[in-house]
Amino acid sequence: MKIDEILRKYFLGKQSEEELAMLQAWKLESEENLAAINQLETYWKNYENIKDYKEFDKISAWDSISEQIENPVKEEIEETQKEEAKTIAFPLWKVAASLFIALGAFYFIKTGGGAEESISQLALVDVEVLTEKALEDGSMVWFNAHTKADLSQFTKEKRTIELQEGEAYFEVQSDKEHPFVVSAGDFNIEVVGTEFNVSYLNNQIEIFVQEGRVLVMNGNRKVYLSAGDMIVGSTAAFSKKENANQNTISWKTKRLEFNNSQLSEVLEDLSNHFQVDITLKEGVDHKNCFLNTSFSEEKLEDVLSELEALFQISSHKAGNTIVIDKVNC
Amino acid sequence: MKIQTKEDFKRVFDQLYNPLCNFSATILNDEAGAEDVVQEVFVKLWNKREELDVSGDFKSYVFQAVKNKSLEVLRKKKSDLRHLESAIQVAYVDRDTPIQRELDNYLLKEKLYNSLRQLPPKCREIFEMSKLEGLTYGEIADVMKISPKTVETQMSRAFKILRNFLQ
Repeated sequence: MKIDEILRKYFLGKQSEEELAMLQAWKLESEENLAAINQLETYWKNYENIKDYKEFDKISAWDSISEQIENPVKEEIEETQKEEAKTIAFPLWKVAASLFIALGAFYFIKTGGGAEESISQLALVDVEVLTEKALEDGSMVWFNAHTKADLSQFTKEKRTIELQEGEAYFEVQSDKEHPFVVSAGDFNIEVVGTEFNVSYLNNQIEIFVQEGRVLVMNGNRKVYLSAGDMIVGSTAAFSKKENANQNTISWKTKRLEFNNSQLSEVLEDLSNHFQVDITLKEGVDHKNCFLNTSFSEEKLEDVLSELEALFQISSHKAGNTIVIDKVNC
Repeated sequence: MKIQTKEDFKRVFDQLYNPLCNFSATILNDEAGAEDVVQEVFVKLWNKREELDVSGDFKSYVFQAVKNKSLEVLRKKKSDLRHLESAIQVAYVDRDTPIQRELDNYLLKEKLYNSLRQLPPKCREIFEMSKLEGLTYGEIADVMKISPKTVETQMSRAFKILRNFLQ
């Protein structure tokens, strides 16, 4: 009997005593025979381990990787980053104040609103205070104070939201079949399942990714963002930066973190977070002031008194602005 | 040897993408998350292609990169209470298996998975029930409403085809 036939019977568990003996003899005939049978045995045994093995979509994956390696956004960064970052940074409350005029015509949501307020009724959002909302697909949205958004097109199958003005943080339920798209002006932000923040004020966009990956589309331009990446700018010029400042989303996380941060950056983050204007008096030397700490849910006064202890800061209030007169680092 | 052209890079991608996604998915217990991790690693590989030598331990290097990134994502998830449940599910992942073993293991799985495509549909179905799901010939015969003898014939056929392909 041919060895192939015996091997086949052996691996199907149908061999006779006599065939088994022949197989043993064949195995010992040469190193090659032994190796061949061991190899086959390894394969055969391991089929039971591929039960959960899957085939991933290589074609889409390659498209996405191709796109990213052919359109690196790095070059743009150096040119625009600094200016763009500055225009973005002016305190939110100034913009917010002007938005009050637009109130009235819109559907209002207030935290703890009436029982009749179901998700599907939430066509237009115009919130005065930080508001958390669950969407039909299980995703969550946090709208920052004074934010307007259109959710009237949103369904489980077609997950689209228009952010008209303001800031929102999205925690998106994963659903590969139905991409989740947020539009803000000329920007479309597409994700599958991830967490990210979008701010859109005075035509300035700011997108920060907390977790997962996000595709940002603007006209023909496509930029992929990973966790920690951020895009700032407008349609005219926007740029990507990596390892962006986590404090961007402090309004939602209630947490401010500083790792060796320059005092000027600290004050900028505090201004944004508490929606006040904190400035250094001209000529104050703060080059050596670096802060390493974190705050969660502390009041502005508590934060200022910590800075006072660390840097011997003295300050005074002038209208809506807090002016730092002196530091000693 | 270095990756010089996009075609070189595509070859590496074709060979490793699927095993890497499967590897990352077992760590993360999240298929979409695994794809994100692996794609990000590939983009970084391309950007670093000038420093990388593709011969030798290159594949282990890529596996290690995916493992590190996956564990980093997992740590972030764990620190987040909302993901506690999935974090517990993946807690058994053995972090200390040498990367060479993981590499061999996943390349073997990929090879076996691809071998199944060689089988005609019905033959494949029977083979998977037997070898992947662990059903007996009798059970398969019941499910498929065929005789045990037919199951055996199909298994025999599968063995011939697979042996030929795997050699």
